[in-house]
Amino acid sequence: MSDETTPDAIVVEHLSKSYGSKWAVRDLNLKVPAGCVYGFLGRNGAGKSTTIKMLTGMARPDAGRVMLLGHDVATLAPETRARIAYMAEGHPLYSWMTIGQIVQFTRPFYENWDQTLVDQVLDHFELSRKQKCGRLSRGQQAQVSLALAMAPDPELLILDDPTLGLDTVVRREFLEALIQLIQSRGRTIFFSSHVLGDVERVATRIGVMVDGVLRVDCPTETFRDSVRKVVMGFDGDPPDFPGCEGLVTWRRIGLQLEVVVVHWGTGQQAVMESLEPRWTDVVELNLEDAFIEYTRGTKRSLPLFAREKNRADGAAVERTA
Amino acid sequence: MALLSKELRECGLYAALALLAQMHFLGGGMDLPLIPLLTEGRGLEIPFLAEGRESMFTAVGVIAGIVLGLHQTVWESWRQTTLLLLHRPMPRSQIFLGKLVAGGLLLLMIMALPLLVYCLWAAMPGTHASPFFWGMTDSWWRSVAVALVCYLGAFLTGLRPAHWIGSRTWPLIAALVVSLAWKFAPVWIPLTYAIFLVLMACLVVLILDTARQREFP
Repeated sequence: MSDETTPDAIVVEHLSKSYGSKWAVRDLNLKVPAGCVYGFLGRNGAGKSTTIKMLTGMARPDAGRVMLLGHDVATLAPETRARIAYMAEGHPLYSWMTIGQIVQFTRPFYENWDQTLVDQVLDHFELSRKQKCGRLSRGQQAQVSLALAMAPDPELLILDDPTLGLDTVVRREFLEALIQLIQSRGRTIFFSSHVLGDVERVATRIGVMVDGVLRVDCPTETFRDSVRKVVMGFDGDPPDFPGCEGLVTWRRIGLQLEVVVVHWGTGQQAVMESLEPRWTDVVELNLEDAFIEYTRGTKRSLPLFAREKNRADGAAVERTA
Repeated sequence: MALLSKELRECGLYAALALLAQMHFLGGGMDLPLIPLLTEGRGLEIPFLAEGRESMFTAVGVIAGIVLGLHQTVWESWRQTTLLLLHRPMPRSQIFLGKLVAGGLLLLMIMALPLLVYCLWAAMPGTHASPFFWGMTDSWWRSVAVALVCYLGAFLTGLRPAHWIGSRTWPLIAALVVSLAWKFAPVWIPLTYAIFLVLMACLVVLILDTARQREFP
């Protein structure tokens, strides 16, 4: 993943964590090269937050270890922690403090504090130093958190769903500010998100967690280009799909058979043709569709509730709830 | 310093209210109550020998200690600002020690400072028509120790995770019972204070160990 000249900002080795009998994260191995913007994706309960908690030392792994900037997170020295910024989900701030007070509170903890940058970010978002944190909107809280996170000039930023709950405009502004800061400083960013559009805009590499296991870890482009949905039309009920290399999921929808595969190629094409469909359509997916198809799996196949003949050509159409 | 100042400001309101209550009760003993209508029989009692006054002094201190201890832990955890605080480049033990120092200072301000004023007033000739020995204040100083132990017990209760409230509150309940037992135990005075110090040291060690080991959601 990383070559010899690029050190890894994050190294995760065989990381596991369970709550009771349920595995939240299982044998996670991951390397994030320095300078990379890593989008960490997964559905609710996939293990993203647990992983981030372990990355920041807020949760203890049952097995495995995490290295941040070359240091074990279990024994992270304050000097190393000062080089790492963390924005927790929901952007918690002391509600009784004003923006000016929270800046004053945070500043003494860091030797490399860039007050000019803080002022620039606060001015950019038109935030008054006298505003109480408790009276800020969620978007403004995110903006203050970003200013506080960037001020110590961190080498690594870990952001837990930073755009959660923000409206479209604020989200866009937040991401643009983040992109500017990344471009001007070349820092490593590891962020989880539910908003695939955000990830597509910012991340150079993505990881996808499914049921506590890291199923995807590759450049964003590679993932998007690898996943294909093949739709085949039949005259009657579609047959069971026999399986092929790189199969993610398949399902019947009326007279159609939808198959999701990765690394679409001639071998898979031959399997599809062996089913003798009336027609075949290979659909390229955007990141969001690719993510949905990849993560929902067979257990989320569309349920069939009724069938009616309402097409001019008499083809059956499925109704789903 | 930033942490200390933040903790002092955050808990300042509770401390100020408790201090006002102490000023009222001890002021009554000095014939200077803050709210004169709420003080009966003023000017007639022998300083430090009126049991009701000592009970109120102890109760205010214990309640303030419990409120401070829980506020510094449960409130922070509930607002999720623990995540903000614990990611500062500072050892976790130092962060929690800072909190304890701030809480301890506030509690001493609520308990020890007014008590010291009351002691000095009582020791000053011509202020009241009754005898005064420093030994008379012993039970009151033990109340200060009780409040400090209860504060640490409440802090540990707020900090340690547990499945249900009964098992979670045992440090507080144990601190309250043991410290009150020692307050009234007819034991050699230096030994009493030594036991209180041991109790406090044990609780501080438990707090730092819990802070180091526990997970913060």
